[in-house]
Amino acid sequence: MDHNSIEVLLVEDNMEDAEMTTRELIKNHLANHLFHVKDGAEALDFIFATGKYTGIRDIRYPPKVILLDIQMPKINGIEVLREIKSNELTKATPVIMLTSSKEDPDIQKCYKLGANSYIVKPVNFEDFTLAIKNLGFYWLILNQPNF
Amino acid sequence: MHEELVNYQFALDASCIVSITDKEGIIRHVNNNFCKISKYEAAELIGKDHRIVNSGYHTKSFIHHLWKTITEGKIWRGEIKNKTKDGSYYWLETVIVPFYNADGIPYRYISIHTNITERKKTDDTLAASEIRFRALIENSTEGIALTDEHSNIIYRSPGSVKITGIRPTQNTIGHSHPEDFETIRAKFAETLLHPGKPISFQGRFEHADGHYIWMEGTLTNMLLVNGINAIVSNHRDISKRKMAEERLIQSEILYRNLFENLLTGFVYCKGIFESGQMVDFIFLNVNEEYELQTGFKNVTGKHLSTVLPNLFSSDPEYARVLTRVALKGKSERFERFVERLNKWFTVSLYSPSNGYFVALIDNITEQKAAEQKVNRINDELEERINRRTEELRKKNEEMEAFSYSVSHDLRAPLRGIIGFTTILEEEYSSKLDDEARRLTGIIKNNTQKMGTLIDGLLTFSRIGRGEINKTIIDTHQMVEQVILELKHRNERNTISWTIHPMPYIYGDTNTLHQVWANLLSNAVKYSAVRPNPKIEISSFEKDGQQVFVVRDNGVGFNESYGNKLFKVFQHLHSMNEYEGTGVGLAIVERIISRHGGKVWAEGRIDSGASFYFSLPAINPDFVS
Repeated sequence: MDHNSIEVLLVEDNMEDAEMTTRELIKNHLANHLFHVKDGAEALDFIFATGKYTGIRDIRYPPKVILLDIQMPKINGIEVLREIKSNELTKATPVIMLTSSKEDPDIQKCYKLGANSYIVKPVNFEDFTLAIKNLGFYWLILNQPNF
Repeated sequence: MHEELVNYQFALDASCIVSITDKEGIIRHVNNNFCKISKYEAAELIGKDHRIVNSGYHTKSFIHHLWKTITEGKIWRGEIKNKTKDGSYYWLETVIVPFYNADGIPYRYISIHTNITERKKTDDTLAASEIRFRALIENSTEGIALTDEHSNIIYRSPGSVKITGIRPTQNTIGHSHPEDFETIRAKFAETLLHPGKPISFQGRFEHADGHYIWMEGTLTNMLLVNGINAIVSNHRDISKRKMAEERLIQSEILYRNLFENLLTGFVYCKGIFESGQMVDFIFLNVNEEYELQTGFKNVTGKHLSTVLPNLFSSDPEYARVLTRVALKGKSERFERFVERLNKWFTVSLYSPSNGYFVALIDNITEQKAAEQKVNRINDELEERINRRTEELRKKNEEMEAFSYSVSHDLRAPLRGIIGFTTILEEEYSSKLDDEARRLTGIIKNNTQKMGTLIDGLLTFSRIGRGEINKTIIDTHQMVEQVILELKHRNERNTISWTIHPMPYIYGDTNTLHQVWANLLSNAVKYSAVRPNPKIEISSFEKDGQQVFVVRDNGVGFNESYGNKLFKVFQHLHSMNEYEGTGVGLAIVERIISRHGGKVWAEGRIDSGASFYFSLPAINPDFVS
C-alpha cells in the first residue's frame, strides 16, 4: 500500500461504523485508496508523518479527504481538526466531521476551526449509506481538490 | 385847702404815673414816674403833643373813641400801649379825667396811669399758650375728652369725635360693651379715688354707628385742677390691633397645642460658633416628646456642652450638619443612630433664622429593626437563590453531558443493528426467504423507532435548557417553509392547505420552527387517511395574546383526554395506527410555555382536531 496516495483517510474508533462506511464506499467504487485509523493519535501520526509513520509517509501528500469522527479515545476529533487546520502544509485538506452528535457546541467549534463539512451519522442505515455515497461522490469526484 | 391839694398831688405823684394835657392835647405837666417810664426828660415832654409817646398799636377808632369820651367830659378808662424814647414799649392802665373851667368846658385832661407791662406780658404768653394747646388738642388723632365725676362729657376733642362718632347721649361709661361695663366702671371709680394718677383702661365701646370698637387709654382725675376741673380721658381706637392680637393668640394656641401634643420631638436651639463652625448650642425650647425621647430633663436655657459634653467631639459630622443648616438656612433630613440611647431617629433640621436651628426627631428604632430584618432576609434569600442557581447550573451541565453521552453512545449501537441487519439482508439475500426478510424488517423497524425516540427525548431535554433568542418572525413565511419541508418528505401532495393572514411575532426562530413543524406534521399525519385532507392555519388576537390555530379534518381525538396530549409519551391512539414518538406535542408545549404562551387542543372523534397556541402579541409600533 502506498501510504502517500491515499484518497480517503477514515478516522473512526467504532469498528462497526468503520465497516459500514468502508462497505459503502467500496460499493460505490470510491474506496480504492482508503485508509482507516482507529484513534486521533494515530490519525495525527499518519497525517504529519510522525510516530510509527515516520519515514513511511510524506506530509506533502495529504489524502484527498479526511472523514473524522469526534468522539474518540486518546485524542478526540476536534483536536485532530485543530492540528490539521493550523498547519500550512495540511490545512487545505478537506475535513468532514462525521459524528453521532448533533449537539450545538460541537458544530460551532468544528466550523470555527475550519471543518469543511459536518455530517451527523444517522441511525437509519439507508440514510447513512446515502450520506456516505453522497459525500464520497462530492468530495472525491465533484469537488476540485487543491493542487 | 391848698395844703390838702398839695398833699393829694404829692400822694398822686408818688404812687402813679401822671400827665396833664390841655384840650389840644399838648402836654402841660408830667410827673417823675411818667418821665421814668417814658424815658423822656420833663423838658422834652412839656409843650409837646402827647402823641410823642404813641406806640402805633391802637386803632384809629380806639383813639377816636377816647377823645370823644373825654371831650364830652366823661371819664375814660382803658389800657394804652406807649413807646419810650428808646423805642421799647410799655402798657398803662389809664384813667383820663377832664377838668372843667368856669364855663363848664373841659380845658385840662389829667391822665392817671398804672404800669401793667408785666401783666400784659403774662397775658400774651398765656394767650399764645392757649392757642398752642388748643391747637394740640384739636389736631391730635388721639381722643381727648373731659367728663364730670359721673362720666358725662364736658368736652370732646375732634379726635375723640372721630373715634366714637357723634352720639346723642353723652355718658361714656354707659356706652361700654355689656361685658366690659363692670371693668370700665371699676376703672372710673379707681380714677376718682386717685386724683392726678392716670389709670389705664381697655374695653369695647359703642360707636355712633352701632358697632363696637376696642378702645384703650387713661383716665386721670383732674377735678380739682384749676382750669380743667374734669376727669381727663386720653384714648385711641385699637380695634385693628385687638383683632391682630386675637389672631395671634389663636395662632399661638394652635401652635402651642401642636408643640405640646406632637409625637415628634421638637428642640429649638441657638448655635454658638467659632470660625464659622458650631462648637456648642443653647437649648431654647423643647417639647415634652423631645424630653421623653432623649431623656433630657429641664435642658431649656442650658448649653449642650453641659448636658452632653462630648457630643461634637465624638461626632464631628453632626456638628458640621448643624452648622450647615443653621448658617446656610437649607433644611436637611437624615437618619441617625444615637448610641447613648441605643435608638434610631429621623432628624429633620431647619433654620428659622440665621444661627438658630430647629430639630424634629422621630424615633424609628422599631422600623429600623424591621428594615434590617428585611434586609437580612433578603440577603439570605439572595444567597439561597445564588446557591440554587449554582446548583441548577451544575445540574444543567450534568444534563448536557448526559445528553451528549446518550446522543453519541446510544446511537452508535442502533446504527450498528440496523446497518448490519441490512448487510445481512444484502449479503445473504439468496439464503433468506420472505419470512426471514419480514423478521429482519421488524428488527430494523423497531431499532429505527428507538433511534427516533432518543432523538425526540434529546430535543425535548435541550428545549428545556437552551436559550431563547427572540427576534421578529414573519409567521407566514415560517409556515410556508415548514409546509415546503413537509412536502419534500411526503410525496403525498393531495393535502389542501389554507393559510390565513398571519401577523409578525416575537420569538425564537429555531424553536418556533420546531413548533410549526411538529403541529403541521401531526395534522398531516392524522388527516392523511381522509380522501380530501384539509389543513387550515389561522390566527386571532385575544387579551393581548396572539393565538394561532392549526385545524385539520382528520381523525380527531377524544376531548376528555385532551390534557394528556401534551405530555411526554402519551398517545390517544394505539401505536400501530399512527407512528409517533409521543414527544412531538410535549416539545411544542415546552417551547411555547418558555415563550410565555399556552397550548391547548380541541377535537372530537372522527371530526378533526384544532390545535391552539398563544404567544404575547407584538406591539404594532414595534414592526418597523
